[in-house]
Amino acid sequence: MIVLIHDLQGDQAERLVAGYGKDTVVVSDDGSIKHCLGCFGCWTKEPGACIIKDKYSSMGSLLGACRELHIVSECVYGGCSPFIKNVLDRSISYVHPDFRMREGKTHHRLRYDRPFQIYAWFYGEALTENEQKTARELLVANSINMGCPVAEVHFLEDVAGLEVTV
Amino acid sequence: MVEKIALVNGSPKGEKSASRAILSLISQSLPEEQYALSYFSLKTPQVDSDIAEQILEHSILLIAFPLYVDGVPSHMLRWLMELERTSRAAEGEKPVVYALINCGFYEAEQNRVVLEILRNWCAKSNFRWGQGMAIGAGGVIGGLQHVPLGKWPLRRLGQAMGVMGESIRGTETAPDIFVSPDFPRIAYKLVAEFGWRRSIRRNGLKLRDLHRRVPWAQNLP
Repeated sequence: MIVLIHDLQGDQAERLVAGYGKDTVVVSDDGSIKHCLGCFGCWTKEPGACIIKDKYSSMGSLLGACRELHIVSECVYGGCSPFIKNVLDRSISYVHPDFRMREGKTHHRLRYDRPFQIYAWFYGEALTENEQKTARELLVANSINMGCPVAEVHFLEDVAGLEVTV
Repeated sequence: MVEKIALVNGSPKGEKSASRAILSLISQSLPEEQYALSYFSLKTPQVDSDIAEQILEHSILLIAFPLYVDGVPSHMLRWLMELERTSRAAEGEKPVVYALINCGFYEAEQNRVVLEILRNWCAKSNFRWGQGMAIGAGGVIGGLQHVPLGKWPLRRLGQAMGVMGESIRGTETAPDIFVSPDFPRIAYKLVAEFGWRRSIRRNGLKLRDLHRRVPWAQNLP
């Protein structure tokens, strides 16, 4: 299964999603997502699921079931857009609260056995070299924390030029 | 002349957060007779342009928040974007930004990328970057408010606060400071993992529930 998390709206969203097959779960912004409260309920009250009950409470188990994570995000200061970041913040039940050493630093133990591959498309006008460098570093940090390799990272001036065919 | 400083807490936990405690600690370096401190708690994603304008009336911003997934918590990112919009729409003097970021990981270096994100935000917003402080094992700080700054286990944090306090008083741009905990990594790991087990029992669950793997069931938009 592929999980596509994107922040596009309208025709742009439709064009993007049209390139994906039935084996894809699309996580998009309908304006209803709630923000992470840092309560750690997803580790100690309902381990593996976010206790904030909205459409995004199962992100951890969704990532645990996928083989590829596709992120299409506006690049904001070298990071993801608020919606994409919100989804990722609400996904930490994917990992276990205990610590393990990876690449010489403490990271969270993995809750699921099967790692997924990360594909990212960052878009935005006049992205600076620093922002692109930061975004690459961010994905490396994410990949170590989630125990998942980064397969591809792309930067686009105009999201209209984005075509993904899976 | 009294300098106006905004203490900006970007933790969703507000008053109960480590970020609040960290802002209180850095305030100790800023004497009342020289600095007027205003506190802003940005706990939700509902941005308010009036509050953004009030924040930008200060010549120095001290921003504290916890590291979320290697970056800025999403609600705080919305506030950073609002502050950028407000700054671009206004003329006049722009503030100097000092950031104090804490993470739940032991190593302060794990905050390195988020400090880069904040530098990029400053560049886009025409703010001057002052200095960043990256704090490892930040979650313990909220529970140590009875410990005087500079005494174990706030010894290294006390030294770092002293260095940043000096930078703020001189409104200087200075290299980032990475604050490792005063205790060994293994001790932090053991205490943290004991804490998760105590929490899960208090919540009426069994220890094995900590390792639960949840099958995915479709309920997304």
